[in-house]
Amino acid sequence: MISEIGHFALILGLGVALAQTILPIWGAQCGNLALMRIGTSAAQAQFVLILIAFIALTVAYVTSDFSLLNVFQNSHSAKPMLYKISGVWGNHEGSLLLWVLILALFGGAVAVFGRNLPPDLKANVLGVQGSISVAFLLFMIMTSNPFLRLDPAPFEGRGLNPILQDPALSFHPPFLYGGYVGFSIAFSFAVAALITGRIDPAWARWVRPWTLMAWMSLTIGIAMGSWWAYYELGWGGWWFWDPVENASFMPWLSGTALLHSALVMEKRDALKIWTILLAILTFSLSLMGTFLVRSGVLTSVHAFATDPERGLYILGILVIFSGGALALFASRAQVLRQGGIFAPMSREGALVLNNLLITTACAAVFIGTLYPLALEAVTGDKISVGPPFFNATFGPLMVPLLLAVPFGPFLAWKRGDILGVAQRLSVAAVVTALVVIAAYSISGRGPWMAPLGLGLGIWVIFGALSEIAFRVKMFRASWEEVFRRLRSLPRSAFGATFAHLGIGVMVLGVVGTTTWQNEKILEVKPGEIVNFSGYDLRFDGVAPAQGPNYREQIGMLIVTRGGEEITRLQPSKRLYDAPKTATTEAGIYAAWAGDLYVVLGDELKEGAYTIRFYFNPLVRLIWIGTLIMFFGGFLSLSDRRLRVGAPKRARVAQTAAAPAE
Amino acid sequence: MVLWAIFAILTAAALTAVLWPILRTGEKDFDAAEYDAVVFKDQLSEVDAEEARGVISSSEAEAARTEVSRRLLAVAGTGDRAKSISANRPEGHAPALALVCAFVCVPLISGALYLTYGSPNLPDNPLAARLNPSTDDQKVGPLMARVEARLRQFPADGRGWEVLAPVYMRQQRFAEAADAFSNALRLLGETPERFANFGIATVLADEGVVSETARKALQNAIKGNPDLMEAQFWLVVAKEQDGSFKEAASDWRALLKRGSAEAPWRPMVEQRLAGLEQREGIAPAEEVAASPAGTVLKGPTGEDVAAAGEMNSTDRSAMIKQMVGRLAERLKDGGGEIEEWRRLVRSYSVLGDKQAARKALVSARQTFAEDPGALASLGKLADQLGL
Repeated sequence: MISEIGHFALILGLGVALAQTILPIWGAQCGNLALMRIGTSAAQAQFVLILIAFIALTVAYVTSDFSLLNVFQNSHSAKPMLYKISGVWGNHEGSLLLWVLILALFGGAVAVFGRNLPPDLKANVLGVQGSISVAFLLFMIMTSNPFLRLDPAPFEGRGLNPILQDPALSFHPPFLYGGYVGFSIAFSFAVAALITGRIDPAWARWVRPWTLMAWMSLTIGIAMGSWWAYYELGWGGWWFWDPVENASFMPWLSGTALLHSALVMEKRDALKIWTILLAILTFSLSLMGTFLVRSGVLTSVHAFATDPERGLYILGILVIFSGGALALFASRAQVLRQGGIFAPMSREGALVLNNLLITTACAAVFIGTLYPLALEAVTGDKISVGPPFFNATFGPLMVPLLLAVPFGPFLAWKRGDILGVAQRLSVAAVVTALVVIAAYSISGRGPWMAPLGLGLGIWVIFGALSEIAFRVKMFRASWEEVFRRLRSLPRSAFGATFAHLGIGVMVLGVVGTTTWQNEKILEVKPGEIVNFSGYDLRFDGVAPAQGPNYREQIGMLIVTRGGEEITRLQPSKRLYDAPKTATTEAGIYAAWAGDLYVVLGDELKEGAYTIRFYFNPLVRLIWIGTLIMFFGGFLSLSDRRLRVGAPKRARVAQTAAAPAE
Repeated sequence: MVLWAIFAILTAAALTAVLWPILRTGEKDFDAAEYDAVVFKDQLSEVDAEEARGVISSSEAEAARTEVSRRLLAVAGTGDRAKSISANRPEGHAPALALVCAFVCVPLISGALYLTYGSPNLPDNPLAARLNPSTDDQKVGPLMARVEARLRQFPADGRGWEVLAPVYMRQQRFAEAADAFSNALRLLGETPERFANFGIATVLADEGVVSETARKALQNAIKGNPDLMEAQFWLVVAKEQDGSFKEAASDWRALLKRGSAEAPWRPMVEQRLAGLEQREGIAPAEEVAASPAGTVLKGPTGEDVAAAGEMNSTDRSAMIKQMVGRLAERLKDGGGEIEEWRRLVRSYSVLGDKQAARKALVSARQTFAEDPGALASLGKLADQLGL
């Protein structure tokens, strides 16, 4: 009965979403306040109903109710509880339910917290949000219904793909969807602005925090996915430019651009129309990611649904929402009032540069991801656009962006003084130069670009630190004064600093691990000692072990350096019971200098094994960097105050000012 | 009935919650400009606060205040929006219409969709309920589940494996049966019966192909107990598969001689022998390969086989090649079942054309690239045939 209640609640949710789509927008058109208010109540009711459905499905998973087709296909009674729960979204139907749940959650949050929004804006926003719900609920109920039943119920389920039975991957989808779906709020606000034909001041005040929340969620989601790929796939890599990865990376890139342009809009009332376009594009890219992953266009771990009918439906959603919003944009954008004006060399100008570079980089990724697919669809030729393409296009775009990052926060609003900023960054420049020289003298051999890449990371880090140092008058005022200024700085200022610092730290990790990685594949007999990257590894053979739902062969390696034992690595190969699948678990020793990463290969004669050894220098910094970025986002989000950018007054009355757009 | 009552309550509650703003009488007007002004006023007070804390200088604060004030004035100037909204409002009808529409449409749409996709008569069936079944035929599953759970915990319990294995056999889960028999063999000691069971399960798991592992086990079995007729049977099949048809035929005859007249396997062996004699030295890989689970495949027709019997050996092999060619042609165009592909690979292998067998294997793998089960069975086949 529980699952049937869940099923009915889901369907009723669709009915409520229909009401939420039609009535508030109708109300906003004819100016009826009561109808507009239905958006608020419907959004909350919709969330409650979908929550009931989600709980019902979770209960079915937890109790192993295989009378549900979806549970039977994706669960097994012997699975650990964590994976029974994460199994709910470890498949196409369940993950769609999570998708609409998060969608409804965000809609409900706008309804509850949006008291200070003008009622007509709020009605339109919730109406658009409701229409997205309608599309996905209809899709789910008709083609991907998680509540379809089996009678009689099979005794045992088929189990969750073991490669997904992993803590990092359990929480990867919720964060990822938090990001994708979070951008729907920015989208709904953008379309609402286009419908009403004006951009309320409350608009920017709202869009920035929501975008920031989505961006944080997506950042963590992507980082988890990459972290998982790193330790689970057993190739020592952390990013493969796989179309599925790109599908989540593109919304992240345009979301990052959106974040910055929304900032300009909130603080300076400028870049309004561009921000609206970017909001539409960002959510469209999220939808496209959903389409790529679920249409069967791609084959990968993520491609749960390889059903062309479903693909066609999602393509329809994508075309209607992106195409509709862009058409609306084309016809209504000129109605909107332009924003403020600013000089090219100003904080606004720097943020425009940021937006240009990021969106161009996003376009590069877009082409690299979609061109092979389009070519295959049209001519049937299969080409592979691998890392070389992305390194040649994405990489060069990141260099000027990273070089420019420290300048942005130093520039004054409206009109800035680039020479003055350069002076303030001199310390960071000196530190960077020293690090580059030191890196050249230490590395000696190896790729000549690597020290420059490291320098880039250091430049971003120290650039970010210099900004705070300058603002608190570090070394120029008494310590008392510095602390007083430090305390009075808004948290959002630290937020930006941490986010930029995180980028710098990540760049260090990326450069370090891609240019100095060391790799060796050896045939090792028990008792043999392998010398690798300064470590001595003694292979002590392989022993079988029994997990809750798998059997494994664990290799034992004792790692010593200079005769002292440092750690024991236990790379293993697992064979899961249901479904019968083999996975590898890498043995990883994490040190600051880098990770020692060992993968157990196939058995050879006389107990010998092939073992792959990797040393990944600085690789941890990649994820530490993303955590710092996340923390920066959190600081900024926790600062609920309004943002006002104080403009710099023109010294000469008639300074040339460029139009904003 | 309870279920429908719950649905009704859920629907009524949801609709009331959604339509509450219409049912409730409240203020009917709003002034959007006021909302704008609130934002600007907030901004002004924020500028003051920042100035007070010394985050921005007083000249910066002054500039910001000027800007914000200018926007505030602009809003006040266009503050007629609310009036214009009130002006074009159709009095009264819209909410009532919405109310009726929602109360009719939402339950109607939900009800129709639920009746299409829902299963209102099906109770929940969680694991706990299935472990306490009400009918007899549901009892084997839970028992097995208990034994399986126990074995996961104590995998060295040989008795458990021995109990479980025949149940697997009955359920035609041959691979699991083979696994269980091999565990029993390892943990409880080697007996001819256990060897035989393991060998037979392995053969059935491989769909009738006697692999090297199976052959060794079966030989061990009859070494200890020559009366294990089923083991004997599969060993002769193995000889057929190896192409030692004369030996196989004489072994069949020996088996018939040894067995009593009523032995249940007699008709099967007789049939087998007859087929072999009729074909005399031709590799009828298809029959052996036919899946024991009962998948019926379109093999060579009776006429084909009869015709083959009357030909000399050159003609015969030409005809077989032709048959295989027909199968290959069909699979190339129409995709085909996994069993047909397996047969094609095996046929090439039996004809001695390893290269063609490998090619067929590659195409088969491409055809079933999406199906892990099929890929696994192709891999196994390749191992057996040494491709």
